[in-house]
Amino acid sequence: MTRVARWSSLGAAGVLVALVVSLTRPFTWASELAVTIGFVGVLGIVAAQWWSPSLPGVLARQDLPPPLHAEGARWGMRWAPWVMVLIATVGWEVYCYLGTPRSAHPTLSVVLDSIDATHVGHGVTFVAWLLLGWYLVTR
Amino acid sequence: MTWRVVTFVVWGLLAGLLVGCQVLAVRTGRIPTAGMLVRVAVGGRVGRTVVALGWMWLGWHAFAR
Repeated sequence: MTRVARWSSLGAAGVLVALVVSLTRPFTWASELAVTIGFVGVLGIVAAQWWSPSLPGVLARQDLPPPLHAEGARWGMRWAPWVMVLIATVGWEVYCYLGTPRSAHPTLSVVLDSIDATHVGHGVTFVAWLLLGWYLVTR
Repeated sequence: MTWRVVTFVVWGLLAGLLVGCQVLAVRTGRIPTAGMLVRVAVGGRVGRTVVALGWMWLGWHAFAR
């Protein structure tokens, strides 16, 4: 299979998954099944990486250089912007979670729910979640 | 301006800062990219397990519950 054909097939599969999942709603067996299939798929990639020495590139762990390769700046200084923004995000989430009334302090879950409320948003965010899982296990 | 609007504005600012960090990393190379952050997080067995559990919780929380 050529590279274009492989990526086209994956794209078509992604659209199909988004369409099917867009029809599900939380708190139903269908949504639980969809998420469970996602778990099994991504954990299946991890299992395949352990047991099979020669996987296709799209499923294998990437052989990337160590992440700290830049010269000059000290380790802590280089990571400081990310750490500060992530601490601020966690802090704001905790503040909103503990804030009352809840309607005045929407948490990240509420923000996500507003995107997820439509069929299109639900399908697209589900595929984005699957892609995140694939990205995490191939790094 | 209500507290609800203020909260959404702060979420937007935080999202902008995350995107800004990534743009700064890609354009200047002075700070690590988000991809490097992920690779550090999943570099060890414990980190990999925690990140995997976090991903699973996110999916369950967002789509099933």
